Amino acid sequence: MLAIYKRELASYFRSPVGYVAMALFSFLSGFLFINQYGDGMVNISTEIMSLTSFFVVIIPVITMGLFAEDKKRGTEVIFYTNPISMFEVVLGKFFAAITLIAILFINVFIHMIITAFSGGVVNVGTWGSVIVYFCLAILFTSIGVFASSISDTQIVSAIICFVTILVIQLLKTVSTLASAGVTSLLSSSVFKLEPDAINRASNNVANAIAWFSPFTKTQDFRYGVFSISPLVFCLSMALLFLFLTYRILEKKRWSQK
Amino acid sequence: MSSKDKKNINDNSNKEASKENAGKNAVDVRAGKLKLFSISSFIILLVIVLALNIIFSLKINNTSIDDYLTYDMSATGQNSVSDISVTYINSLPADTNIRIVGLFDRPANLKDTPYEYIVPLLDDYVSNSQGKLTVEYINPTTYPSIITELDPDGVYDLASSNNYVVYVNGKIIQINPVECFTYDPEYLQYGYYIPTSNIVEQKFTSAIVNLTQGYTYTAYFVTGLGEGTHEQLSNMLSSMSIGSEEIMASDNFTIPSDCSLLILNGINTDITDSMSSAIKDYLSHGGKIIVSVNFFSTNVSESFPKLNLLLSNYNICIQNALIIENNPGYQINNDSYNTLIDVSADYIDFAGGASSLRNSYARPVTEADSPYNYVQVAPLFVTSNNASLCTYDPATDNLVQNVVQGQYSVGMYSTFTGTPTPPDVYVFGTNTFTSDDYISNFGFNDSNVVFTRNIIRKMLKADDSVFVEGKALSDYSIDTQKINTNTTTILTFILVAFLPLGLIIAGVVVYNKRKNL
Repeated sequence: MLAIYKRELASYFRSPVGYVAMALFSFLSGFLFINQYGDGMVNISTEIMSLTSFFVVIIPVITMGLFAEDKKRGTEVIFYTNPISMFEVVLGKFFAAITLIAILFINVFIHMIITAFSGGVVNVGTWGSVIVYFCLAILFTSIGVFASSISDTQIVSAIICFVTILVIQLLKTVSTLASAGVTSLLSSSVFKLEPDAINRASNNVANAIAWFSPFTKTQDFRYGVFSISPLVFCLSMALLFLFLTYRILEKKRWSQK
Repeated sequence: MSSKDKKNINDNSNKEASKENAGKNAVDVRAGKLKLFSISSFIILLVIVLALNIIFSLKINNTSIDDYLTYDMSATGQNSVSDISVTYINSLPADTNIRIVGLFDRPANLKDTPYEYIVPLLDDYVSNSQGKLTVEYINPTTYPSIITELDPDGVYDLASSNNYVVYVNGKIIQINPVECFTYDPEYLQYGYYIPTSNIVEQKFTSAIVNLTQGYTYTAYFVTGLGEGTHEQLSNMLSSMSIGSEEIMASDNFTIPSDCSLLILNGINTDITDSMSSAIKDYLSHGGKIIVSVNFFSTNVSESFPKLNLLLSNYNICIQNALIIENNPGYQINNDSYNTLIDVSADYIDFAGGASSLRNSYARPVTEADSPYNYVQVAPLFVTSNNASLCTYDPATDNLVQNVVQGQYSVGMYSTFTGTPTPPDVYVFGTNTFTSDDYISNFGFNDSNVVFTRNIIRKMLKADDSVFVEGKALSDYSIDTQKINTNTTTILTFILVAFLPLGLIIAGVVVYNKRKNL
């Protein structure tokens, strides 16, 4: 696994991908930071939470080539012909991507140091946001790894990852729209329901959809409220996607198609 | 080829075909089993993951495992209900039903809105209420029936309020989200809301207390004397289970029989004769009064003769002069008018142990010349020994300073001895103990405000055991002395231009060097 991790991490710096991701991230984070710094009020939590909404662009860039590139070059056969577990391959590539995301985050650490030296505040809410950042990064990277494993080209892989993360980002909005939809549907004369029942039904629909949103679950961390269940949610879902990736890749060993 | 040979060949080919079929079947079976294993193992993991997460968020009696595994690590516990509120709610009967209804959709984006501090805190109320408290968000536009449900008589204008409503047994108190904070009054006058402290819990807990046990006392604010607003002081009284009402100054002034405390807060004009006699009568029956006046452009020519005549019965006199503090050690930011005052030894406990308090544009409050021994009067705060006075000269429209320096009292307390129902009279020569501006600026934990709260508590013997302190908000401003335009420009260049461009160039170089490998 370590060999794959090292190879994959090095490959980011042997191709323009790593540099593009780092340039993009440092520009976005720098812009967000300077905007606040110029106003004389710096809340690093706000910067970090804004950066998580750019995962929709950054994660596909980082993960699109993880398996798709091997398939394109035909080098994936190495994984099947070497005495190595396919799950180790998945983990090696996954951790390489996470390491790159951690390297990107050095920008934010620099901003924290500048803030502290400028007499600003780096408080517990900031560290809460850092935890959220990495939890979401782990979840979305696992989705990116999965997307890369099911497609043969990097572009398709990036599009699948982009759309999936976008849908997850919009879950809260979707829940509100679904709630309104349920309300208008149940308010029609076909269903003769009490306002209370309609209210309960629409709330339940909204809650059920929003339950899947990692953004909603982790929103209190930036205020210094730490909770175990959002972390369990992100990590367990990431594990699920990694396992699914492993199963997709393992399929080649026995599938006759 | 003989028929025997042909038969042998056929037998052999049949054997090979059946062998091939057997091998193919074996591969098919193995592939099928692996497929089954692959799908079932994923489904099992999916079920485990979903079950684990559902268990965490499953609510039983309005409480989930997640609630027990949530920790508020913020410096001032912004997002958690304090033990004071939890203890009070837990002390209520098990069948208590407190309903908090936000008359709008639950805010989806809390960031940088007042709801940032309200929504998580209300969720924490629910977690800690043992099922006695619920929080709902019901938009009256979608569900108009909620208005009549909460307010059947239509007493309140709930429909357009966008407020929270606390509802207990048919009684309601409205809470405006914007009023859940105190704001810097300096910016407020220009229309900017710069929050100085978070009083969300204080507002909701005091509403719950007042709805479940009712107001114990009623304080009356006298209005119509050019005074400022008293919203923050009312908030404080409410949190002590003291209701607030207003009485308009008039020639037919009467004090209601349920008046527990009369407050003349920052008045700028004198009282009327009827007010003087009504207040005197009220105090003669053990009444309590707080008077605060300052010396500012709005009242420089006002000497309050009728008020002073009334107060002379309690051996107190408010002088028509401005105190100038000449001792630099007492000045705040080298300002002779915004200064510190020493708290009299007997009242240091009332100020939470602080020996000096803030004072601004104060009038001296001194003893009058009452000959009666039963009048007991004591100074509350004094200036340094180097203070002097200046008075307003209407002829020149200027202040004239007296060069004689001395010590002046800024507040006095008076009561009677030997009477079963003695009055309690507190007179402040400054508004820094009761004004909205001051409380907004410095918050409810400030020593001046603590002093006011403690004297009210002493006068009314009000139980404020459920008083929740305001919570200071994080200040994210950076030190302007450490940064300037040059620093910002350099940082902008490095972080937004130099660093990203450098990385792009590095990427291009790497690509060019490796593209032919």
